[in-house]
Amino acid sequence: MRISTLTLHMLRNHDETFIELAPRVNVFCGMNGHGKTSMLEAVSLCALSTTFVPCDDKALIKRGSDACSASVTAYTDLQTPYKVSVTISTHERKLIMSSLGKRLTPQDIIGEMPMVALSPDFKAISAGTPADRRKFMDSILSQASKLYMKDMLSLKRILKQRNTMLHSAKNGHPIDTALLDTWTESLIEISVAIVLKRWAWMREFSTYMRVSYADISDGREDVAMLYEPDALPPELISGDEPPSPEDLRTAYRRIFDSVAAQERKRGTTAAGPQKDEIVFTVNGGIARESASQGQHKTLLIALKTAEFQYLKDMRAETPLLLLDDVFSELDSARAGNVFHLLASGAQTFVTTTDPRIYHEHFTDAHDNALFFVENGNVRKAMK
Amino acid sequence: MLYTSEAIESAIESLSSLPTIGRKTAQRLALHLLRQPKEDVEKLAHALLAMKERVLYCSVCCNLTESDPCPICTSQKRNRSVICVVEEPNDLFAIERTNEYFGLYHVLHGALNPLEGIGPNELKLKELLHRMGNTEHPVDEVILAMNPNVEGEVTTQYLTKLLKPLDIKVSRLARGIPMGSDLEFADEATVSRALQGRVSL
Ligand SMILES: [Zn+2]
Repeated sequence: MRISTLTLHMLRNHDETFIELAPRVNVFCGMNGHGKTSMLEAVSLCALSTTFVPCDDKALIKRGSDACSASVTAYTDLQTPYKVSVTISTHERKLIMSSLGKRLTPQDIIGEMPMVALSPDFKAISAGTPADRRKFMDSILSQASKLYMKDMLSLKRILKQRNTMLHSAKNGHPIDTALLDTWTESLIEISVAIVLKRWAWMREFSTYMRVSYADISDGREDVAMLYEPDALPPELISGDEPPSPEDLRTAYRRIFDSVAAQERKRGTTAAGPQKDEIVFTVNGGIARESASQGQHKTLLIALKTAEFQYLKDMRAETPLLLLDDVFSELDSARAGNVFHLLASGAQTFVTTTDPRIYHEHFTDAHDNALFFVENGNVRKAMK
Repeated sequence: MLYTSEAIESAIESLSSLPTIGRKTAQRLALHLLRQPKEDVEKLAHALLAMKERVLYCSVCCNLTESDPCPICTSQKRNRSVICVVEEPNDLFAIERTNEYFGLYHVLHGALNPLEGIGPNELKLKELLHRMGNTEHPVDEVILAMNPNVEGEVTTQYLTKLLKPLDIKVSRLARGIPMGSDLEFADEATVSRALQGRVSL
């Protein structure tokens, strides 16, 4: 995928920004708070319909304005033109248009322009909460499969409906047991579908991850990635063959029978894929508990490299690569690994406070470009 | 924005209480109506009142009708042993337009939706079960034609549970690739559903 032009309108501290991008590496240089990360957020908005920065999308709207937008014109690897624009408003729903149609939903565009972002915030994937890890997994699977996205939306909806019933049971309202059972069956069906997809993904993705980790650590460390579905017996998913849907169904039925009383007392669903966990281990120890800062950084680069390769293979399209302020945090060896990833040929968007990054690594004037960002104004550096 | 006329303000308020009509649209509609000839506005007001006074639920299928039972339920040409269950009257029209279905209908007026406070008692379910006991024209098959979303799916499952013990054939609409659209343009979810629901030849 290659973006040729990028437009920002009332996004963060940009009023109106329009730039033509270089086909390979685009470096955005500026002081913090001047709007260089917003350039990457605009790309993310067009690719994922949301910013990669952990915040509410409405925070993207410039103060005093009631809507912001980002749009791109791009070309796929096969040179098919692709356009997309996403508008966030204070009072209305997200407005998404692309070459595929008008009034689209996020599911329509996610995956069409695959994207991988790397930012120091993402250390949370290995060091943070289970929710951080689920978010990582869901984001990759969503870009790889529309079916998975659809299942996740159904899961959310079913949980909301089922929790409404449980909540009214908690408040002492009489409950139609046959109806609650029907919602439980529905939850079990969608849970089985999601667990099977996650299981298959983990199989495939962990291979990518081990390869990229071994590359980075010169094979000195052993790393593994395990899928731990909430509440299911481990032996059910630990085999080499995918678990059978019927076994999963039976196991979930048993689980929901055993938590039935507790669920009615607490008014909320007690088990399911919304609580699944991924565990990373380095040299046999659980990364979240025992990995060093350096190992977390290596793990993050390895995961993002794996994500890049996996998406490239799944979508048969080179993902866009977003590197937000990564070089300030990395020693030269790990920075070298990131440059290695850059050698894949992906169009890349880099933010930095230090223009030397550009002058030392990306001087090929034809394919690369340096932009200075100051107070929401973007200026292309002269060669 | 507040108008200088109480009448406009109250018209806007009434209009904006309608589903999918926000305050802005309500303002536009109110001003549009204000600019129309008086006869046109009277026509609209009469049409609304007449609809409210004349339309009622069919005591058999619960569809909207002006004569009870409705023309479909009283038609001699229809097969009384098959009932197609739909969520809304609009869904019934969609099936009628095919000119391919000659059984009867039952309109539930919604789907099970705890978030909106719609449980079995809010739907025309008792009326449906009552029809299953009809000895004069016994029901052989019930076709469940709910919308393909989470609520429609749960309604289908719930109805199946209620109907199966009555020894009635229960079926549902197939899901798959829309006619007239190419396979390559169908989304992955639709294609996958169509694969799951494949039929042997
Ligand atoms: Zn009728």
